[in-house]
Amino acid sequence: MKTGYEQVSFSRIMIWATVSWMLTACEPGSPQLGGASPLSGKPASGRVAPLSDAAFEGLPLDDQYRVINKLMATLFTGLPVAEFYALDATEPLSRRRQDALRLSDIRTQLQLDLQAESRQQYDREIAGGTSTTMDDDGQALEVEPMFHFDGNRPKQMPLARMFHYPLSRDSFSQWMAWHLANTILFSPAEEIDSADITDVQNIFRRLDLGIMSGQSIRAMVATHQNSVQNWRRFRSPEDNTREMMEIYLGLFDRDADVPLASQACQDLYLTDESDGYKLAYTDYPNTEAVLVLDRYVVNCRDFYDVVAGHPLLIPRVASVLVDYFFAGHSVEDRLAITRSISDSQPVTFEDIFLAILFSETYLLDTERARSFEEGFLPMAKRLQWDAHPDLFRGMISGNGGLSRTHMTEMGWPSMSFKLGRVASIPLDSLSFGNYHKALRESLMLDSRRWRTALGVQQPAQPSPTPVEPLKADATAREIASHQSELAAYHQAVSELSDEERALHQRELAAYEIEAELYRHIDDLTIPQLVDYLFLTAVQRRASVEERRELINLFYAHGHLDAEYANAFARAGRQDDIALITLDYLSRLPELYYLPRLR
Amino acid sequence: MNRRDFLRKASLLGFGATAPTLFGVPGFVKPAWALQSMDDADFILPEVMPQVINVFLYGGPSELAGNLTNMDLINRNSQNPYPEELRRSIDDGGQVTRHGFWAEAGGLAMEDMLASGDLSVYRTINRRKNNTRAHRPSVFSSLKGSLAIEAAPGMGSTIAALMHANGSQLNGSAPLRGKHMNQLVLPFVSFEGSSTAFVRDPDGQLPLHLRGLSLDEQFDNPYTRGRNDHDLELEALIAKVVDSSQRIRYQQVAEGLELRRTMEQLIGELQSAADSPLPSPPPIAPGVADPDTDPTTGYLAYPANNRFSARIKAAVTLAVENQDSLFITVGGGLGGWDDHASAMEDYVPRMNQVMEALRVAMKHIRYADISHGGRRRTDNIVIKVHGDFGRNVNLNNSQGWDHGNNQNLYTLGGAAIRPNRALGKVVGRTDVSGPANQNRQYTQPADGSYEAEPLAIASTLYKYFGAQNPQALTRDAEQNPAGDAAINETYPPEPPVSI
Repeated sequence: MKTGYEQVSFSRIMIWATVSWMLTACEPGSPQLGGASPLSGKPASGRVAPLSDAAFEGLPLDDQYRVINKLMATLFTGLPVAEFYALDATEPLSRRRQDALRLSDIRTQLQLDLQAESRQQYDREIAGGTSTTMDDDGQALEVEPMFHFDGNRPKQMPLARMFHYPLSRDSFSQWMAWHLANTILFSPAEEIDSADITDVQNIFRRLDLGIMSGQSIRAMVATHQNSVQNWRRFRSPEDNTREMMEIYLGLFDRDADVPLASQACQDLYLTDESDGYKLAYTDYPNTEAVLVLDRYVVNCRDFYDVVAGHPLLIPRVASVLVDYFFAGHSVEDRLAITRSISDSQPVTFEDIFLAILFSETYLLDTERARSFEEGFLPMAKRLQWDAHPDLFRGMISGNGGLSRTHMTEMGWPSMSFKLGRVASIPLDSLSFGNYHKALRESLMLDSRRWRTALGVQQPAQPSPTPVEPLKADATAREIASHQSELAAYHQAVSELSDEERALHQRELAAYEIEAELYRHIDDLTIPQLVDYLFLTAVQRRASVEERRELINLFYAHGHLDAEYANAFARAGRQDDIALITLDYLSRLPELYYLPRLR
Repeated sequence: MNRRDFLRKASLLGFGATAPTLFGVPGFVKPAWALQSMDDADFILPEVMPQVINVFLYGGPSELAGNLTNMDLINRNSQNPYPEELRRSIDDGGQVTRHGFWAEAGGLAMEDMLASGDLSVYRTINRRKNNTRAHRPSVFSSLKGSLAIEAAPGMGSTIAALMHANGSQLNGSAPLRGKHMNQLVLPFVSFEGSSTAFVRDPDGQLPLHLRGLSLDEQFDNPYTRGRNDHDLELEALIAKVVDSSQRIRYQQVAEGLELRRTMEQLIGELQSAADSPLPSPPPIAPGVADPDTDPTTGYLAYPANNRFSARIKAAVTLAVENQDSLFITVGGGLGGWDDHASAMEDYVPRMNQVMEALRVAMKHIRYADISHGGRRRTDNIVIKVHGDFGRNVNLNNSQGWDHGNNQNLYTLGGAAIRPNRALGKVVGRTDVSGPANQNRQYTQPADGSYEAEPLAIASTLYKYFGAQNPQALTRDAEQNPAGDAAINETYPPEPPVSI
């Protein structure tokens, strides 16, 4: 018979053998798949078989747009209609732009790291700072921050990064860490006395670093269990060990194991409030090998190794994520999906998230309520909303000009609950009342911040204002006048500093894009304009009834151009039409769901 | 696959921990028992319709605030010593009150409420069936009144279903003041957002007006719509477009949008009520004002700097002002009672705050009664205070208590719907079990003591609402075939302690 210590050693070997086996079970990905290539483990299959490029290309045009936006909304971003559909065609909105984003593009982008310098630049744009660009006097320029932050910056910055970074592995990592830190798996539990915002910062950062450096799930769980943040959430040996078995293995009612596991962990304790809730040794370590989860352990590290190496860890972790992303599926379905993920032997969290996101089951067959992040932020992107600088203060802290977006009021605080957010989005009357009001009033009716970028208002020209090209049949007087205006323009530009000139160039470029979009939108017939707005908000076209009723409403309020038999919007009324249409759409239940396509 | 098979497989795949997500899933584990149980509940129209405020202390509060009767042995066996004053009576400069409460942990307020006949304490709510000490199954079984935590609806939904099933007796009846159930305003309310107490029976569809709605303690009104120029036209179009298939497909959001307009008006009325002054209690002796009054106004005042005041006041205000509110849940954001560490620093003042807020709440209810110049009788308003489970009594190395089984139930008010002699007493005796100097030490009902399962709390509520056989509503075929009876509120009290 083995002694306790021999058995401990054996158990450790078994754990590491399991881990090693998981680590080496890699196969190269399959590049033709619309679903992501797994970074490790086997290609996803079964209920998480990826939607292939061919299947994506075979979808009707509007369904392709829905799929792209469903995926992007899940990632808290969105693709504007004008970046997917050709608007300059004879029949606008009837074909895809040549350069439109496809499923395979998203997959590729999510696996590409940003250059370090680019990432720093994006961070400067988000939070302000000293630019690497010099002004005319050789002084480094100060970058104006896009967003305002407060004491909850560790929660606000990740959202700002997801919102501002381009699709990339960096933005994806922030998004994965956000999900993990909001689940029961890694919640910092800021609501409890012993945890605070520094625990949020440290857990989030550790998750992001772990993901970006390709750490395995087992390694990340092992690291987290040993951290002071874990002990600030579960503060005594009995609490901590019980919760580790429940949270990471899904093993409840292990009342026989808990006292033994807590005996192994008796050498650790959390100091009290006056001593700063530090993790400390008692100086009375356990010396007796105890049998926990069919393995002998002596100390807490042994116990954590058993949990991190346990065969139930991966299915359990997968099931937590499956419960969220596949909410609305039957339990049997979710069980099958979890099994398919586990069968692919994922090694990293990235493997699991990629398998979920790009699966046919998720993209085509899943319908679930959007979280506020999945509702508001993608809508903001599709509307090309000029983001309010208080956006993330509002969402996280309920402060500033966008306090109405406070997610806590929606029963959806971030990284706060001891046991993480629940898998289903809170839709009780109060939570939903706050959600609806925030989405409608702070975004969909905030036309001042989207009407130009959406193309429903003529953009203002930057100053100095460029001179319009000369008409081919211009008279001598007109030619002379034009030359004079041109000279004045060049004179004004030459008087700008280098910095101002660069800014002017950027404004001109932006103006050209907005002006072109405005011309296209101005050319849309009313039914086409309505479809443009519907696609923006709910990624479908208006029904016959909706189109008829809304057009009647526009007509009744004088928004249609009688000169063209009311087939077009009156000049300057496109934004009024957009406002009414978006108000209508904000009242549609479907707006609050990620759609099922079949 | 039957449920047992499923659960076993789900556990293997780690689904067990995600039980909360399993409930809203139509088609899974058909709870055919639900409709059957309504018939078996043997409903009789109650003479007085109760109004219940269920205060749930998430995390599992220690019983010690209400039970220091075993402190000598507890202290001897504890890994870490308790303050010596917990073994001396208040008459001797200690903390133990006449009925064995912890003076600084709300014990003085408890004694006041016991003396005024507003409170009873049951010390032996002890989980023996499915003897778990894990949070999720404990919370879910307590708030659902069932051990079938995957399938059962919340206790608020069960009360609503009981009423719905017996609408023929209730509609237009005297207990409902002649109202039809669909005329009730805010009958089921949560002050904790999405609540397990209102999880629905996936197969037993409740009408919209009997479903749980949530309010916040300020009666904030997010239901208004600003910039609403085309409201009538757009709502008319919505009414055409959102057909029954959409209402089913997007059920929760569709209902939320549908309820918004009603809520907009109701909340406005409640805001006015909440802003009105509380009743003014009579002096407790000539020239001596009630200590819970504001000396400048003479009106009752909930304690300041008390994290429970706002929410308990809001719940009581709603119950007093709106007789249609029949079941109100309060919980979440109430401090977190999972005191694994630093218990002396945190638990004691927190428990004191709860009890002081409850003492004012009981005066708020009493002095709003018609006998004190109010508009109605308020002795139908009951407050129940309980949690996930109790805690061990060993003071661990983090100076806290780990999960235990035995807990107290604090039950307050509602004399009109209880049997005689139900209030003003302590029921149940405990002794201590578990090896000395080890963590797992706990109280349990002493030999011959009264005891009840946590599900008995839900069963008691069902009984108030007319179920003569409330066991039928707590039972399930696999784990609890007999169900649990209501608490025996006529059980004789324990005598005061002698120290």
